[in-house]
Amino acid sequence: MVELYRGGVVSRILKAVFGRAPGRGMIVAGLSIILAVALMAILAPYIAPYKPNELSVPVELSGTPQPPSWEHPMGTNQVGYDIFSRILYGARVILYVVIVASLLSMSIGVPLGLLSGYTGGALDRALSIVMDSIYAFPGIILAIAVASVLGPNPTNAAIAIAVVYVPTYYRMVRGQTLEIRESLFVEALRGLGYPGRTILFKHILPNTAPTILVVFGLSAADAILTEAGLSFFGLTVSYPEPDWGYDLYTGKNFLRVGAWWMILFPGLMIMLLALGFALLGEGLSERIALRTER
Amino acid sequence: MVKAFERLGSIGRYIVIRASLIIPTVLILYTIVFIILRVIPGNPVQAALGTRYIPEEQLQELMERHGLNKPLYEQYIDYLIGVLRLDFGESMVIEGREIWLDIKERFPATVELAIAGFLVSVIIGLATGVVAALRRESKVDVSLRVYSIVAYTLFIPWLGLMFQLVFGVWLNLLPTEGRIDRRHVQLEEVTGFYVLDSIITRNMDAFVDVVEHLILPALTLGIVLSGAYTRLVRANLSEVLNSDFIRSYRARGVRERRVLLHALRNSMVPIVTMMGLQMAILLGGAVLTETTFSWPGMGSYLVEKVQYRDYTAIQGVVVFYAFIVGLISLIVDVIYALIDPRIRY
Repeated sequence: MVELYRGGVVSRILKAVFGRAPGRGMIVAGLSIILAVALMAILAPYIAPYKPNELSVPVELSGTPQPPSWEHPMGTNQVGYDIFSRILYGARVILYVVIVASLLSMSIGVPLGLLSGYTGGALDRALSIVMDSIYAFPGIILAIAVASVLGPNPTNAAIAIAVVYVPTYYRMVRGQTLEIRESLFVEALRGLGYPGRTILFKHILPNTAPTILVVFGLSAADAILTEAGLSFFGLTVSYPEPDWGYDLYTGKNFLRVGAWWMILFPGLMIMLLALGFALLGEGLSERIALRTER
Repeated sequence: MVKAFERLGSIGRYIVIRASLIIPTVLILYTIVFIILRVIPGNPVQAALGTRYIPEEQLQELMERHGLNKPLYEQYIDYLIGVLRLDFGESMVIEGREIWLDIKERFPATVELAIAGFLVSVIIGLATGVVAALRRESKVDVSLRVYSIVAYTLFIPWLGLMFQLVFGVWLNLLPTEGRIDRRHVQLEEVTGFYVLDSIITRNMDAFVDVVEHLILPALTLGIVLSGAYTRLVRANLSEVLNSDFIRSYRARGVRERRVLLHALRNSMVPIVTMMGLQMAILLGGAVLTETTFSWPGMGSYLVEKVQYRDYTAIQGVVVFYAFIVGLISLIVDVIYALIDPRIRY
């Protein structure tokens, strides 16, 4: 049974996030991580000790990665760029890509899901087959194919990732719409002669808002890892722009000389951010008591 | 025709109907790739050339070679017909190289890695899930819960590179790249699955070397996938352990180990479903694992081709993967129908 919420969309979302209920600890932890990374991204120019792509060591040291020290808390890369500064600036890229991608897939997946679930029939079947096919396909492979065609820049990476997560939103919203459609209050509205459009967007959509939020948390966690994957293959930015995934990739070439700091820090940041969104999504799903399928 | 269909029996009918559902899956993914590859400004040949300049005449010749100057619908249908004959077209970068030959060469490596990773994930997932279900709400349970979330958010290249650093560079215990060290061992390729080949040819040295190469990639892939099983086994097993038939087993004095076995068997159906769902993640994870470990499979092939903008190869790989995904989901569904007779047509 779907839980129906009272009030407007905003108050519903606020209640779902901050109300007293299980999962609060996870939600708070997840949001703190996400906010901390967002702050890093916003404040990067003020707190970064160096520019992300400026030589931060004497010229004679350039060419060899320098281990962490007081001047370089996370060490430097092979060129002599400060890794800590690159981590701060790199937060901008990954957050931008994942947020744009999530908004894109939401704005396509949610309306299609509503429509499909409410109208049913041939349209519903056709859309479901298309969405299920994309959903069953390995996301990263699809994203690589799309991104390789569009070319390496953050907006294109966001489009490539959006394609992967449209079905996730679609499936969840469609399922919810199917259930809500059968509920008593929708029947009452129909009996009162409200047009389908009003019922769908004014009454059903607000009730799916909490679900959309859960899907956002869980799919954003996944999207972070997909984005990092694209970056790892050099499909998000062009070097020497700072980018966690690609910086990790450059670390691979300096593994033999034991430059662990080039691998450890970018990777930890990727996973911390993914963990933030995963905790948010987990906490929300526990609270909203919805059958999660991943 | 109809009679023959009816004679198949319920499981046979199920397989036939279910198998026909692979076709739309492959068609839809092919259509998507076909469309996005035609979105490229200019055309794929020009895009593959990048900034290199070739005379107009040669360009036309290349276009003709890849069938790109035909109308779009003809291109669309020609390629489909080709795929049915296992003809995935020719490389745009290496002249005359057939994509299918590359796929045939690379695919066994991916399957070997995927199977090994899958086994690791199921073993870790079952073990941790059973422990968590038996000790619900204990410290072990809570830490395994954290494990299942963290494992899911692990970034494969990071975990793989850390393994390489620790076990390959610092401890110098295991190789970090490739499937086999050709400088030290010889291996006659029979099937392309090196573990199998070394057993068939009774080549002990090669077997040890091949398994050593497989350990780190399989662990990397397996650990990342194991979290989902931990959580699922825990949830299902604790539900079954609370059910009436388990209580009556216990009341009758059945030994706890046997009770656990019965419970496990009864919690298997959702776990098999999960294995099917995980296949897409497994194949996707394999792409990252292969690149991290320079493992010569389909995934690293795709990434190489992306660097060269070899669009026919990219299209071929995606269509091939679509087939594989459809095939795997078919197999999983058939297993599912065999376990649970309610799901048949």
